[in-house]
Amino acid sequence: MNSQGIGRAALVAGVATGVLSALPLLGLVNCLCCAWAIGGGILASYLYVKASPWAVTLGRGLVLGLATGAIAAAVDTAFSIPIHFALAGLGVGAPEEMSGLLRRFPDVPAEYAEQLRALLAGGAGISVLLLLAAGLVKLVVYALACMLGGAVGVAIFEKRPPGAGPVPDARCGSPGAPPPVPPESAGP
Amino acid sequence: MQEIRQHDLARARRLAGVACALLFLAAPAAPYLAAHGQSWAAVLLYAAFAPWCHQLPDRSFAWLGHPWAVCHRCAGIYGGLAAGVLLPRALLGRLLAVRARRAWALGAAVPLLFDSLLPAAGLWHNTAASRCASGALAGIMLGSVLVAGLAQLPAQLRRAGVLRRRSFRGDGS
Repeated sequence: MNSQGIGRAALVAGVATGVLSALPLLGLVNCLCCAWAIGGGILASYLYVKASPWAVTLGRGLVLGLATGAIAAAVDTAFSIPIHFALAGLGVGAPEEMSGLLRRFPDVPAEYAEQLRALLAGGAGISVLLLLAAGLVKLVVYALACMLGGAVGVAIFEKRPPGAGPVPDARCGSPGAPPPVPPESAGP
Repeated sequence: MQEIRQHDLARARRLAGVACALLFLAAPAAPYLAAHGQSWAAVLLYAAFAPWCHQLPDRSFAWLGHPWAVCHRCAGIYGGLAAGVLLPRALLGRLLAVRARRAWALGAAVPLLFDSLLPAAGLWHNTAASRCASGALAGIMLGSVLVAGLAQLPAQLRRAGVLRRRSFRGDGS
């Protein structure tokens, strides 16, 4: 597998997805069916298909999406920590969101809800731990969404049949030169 | 579509089918738990889906007096995902043939995009049925590419030397 090409495409798309998802208002786009994450997978596929001399399969699109999602989750988590502390001062952080959610359940005892709110609003160490735990959930969700996006991107952008290699350029290629060996993309 | 072994397709279907079914069932599980006094479990489920769905109660199915953990459109997508991984092999092959898959991917996503974006322009008024149906169509497409990609992975990994080459009895290849 062309891991270098996958790494480059996944890095570019993963960083873009992570940054966009971590930003306070732009991150809400993920509420529309993980749109940034699926879009990140599609972007990674576009970059990879464009650079690959060999036909890219749907399976490789999944692997590409997996790598993109992992990078996006790491970048999102890294950006979320300073953004969380910046927003906490404005009173629009995770404790307020959880309070709003708990208000929908009148049978949750008020003291429990208050304890949870106090925990979320607690010290910096607890906040960072909770953000890292949220990062693990993001790792799973982004990986899945980017895998779907990666496979969809291959379906959209890859027009070559499975196993197809680069088209020989009559102007540049020497007629006697043997064709390059495909990495492993040829179909069975 | 690249040739896929029957054995690899069956295994991909099992894996993706179980995962997608669990994802879909988690949405109505939240109101069920809430109605049966398991509020903390319900809160956890609602919180788990909150970053990925707006969860507006008037745009979500309700059960036992509580909204599902996801909106109509996301419920359609998750249900479609579970259905998409179960598409018959022949239909999967036709939809994901190189000449057809682009039209399938874009065509299945267009109703969802129109149903989401046209109301903002005042050109269309979406309903619970249109949100759910357009999500389900996109979900079926996503499920089909997911299961086809998963089924191709073992052959690619075997060629790359990550998986040991094995011959499967009765896999039809």
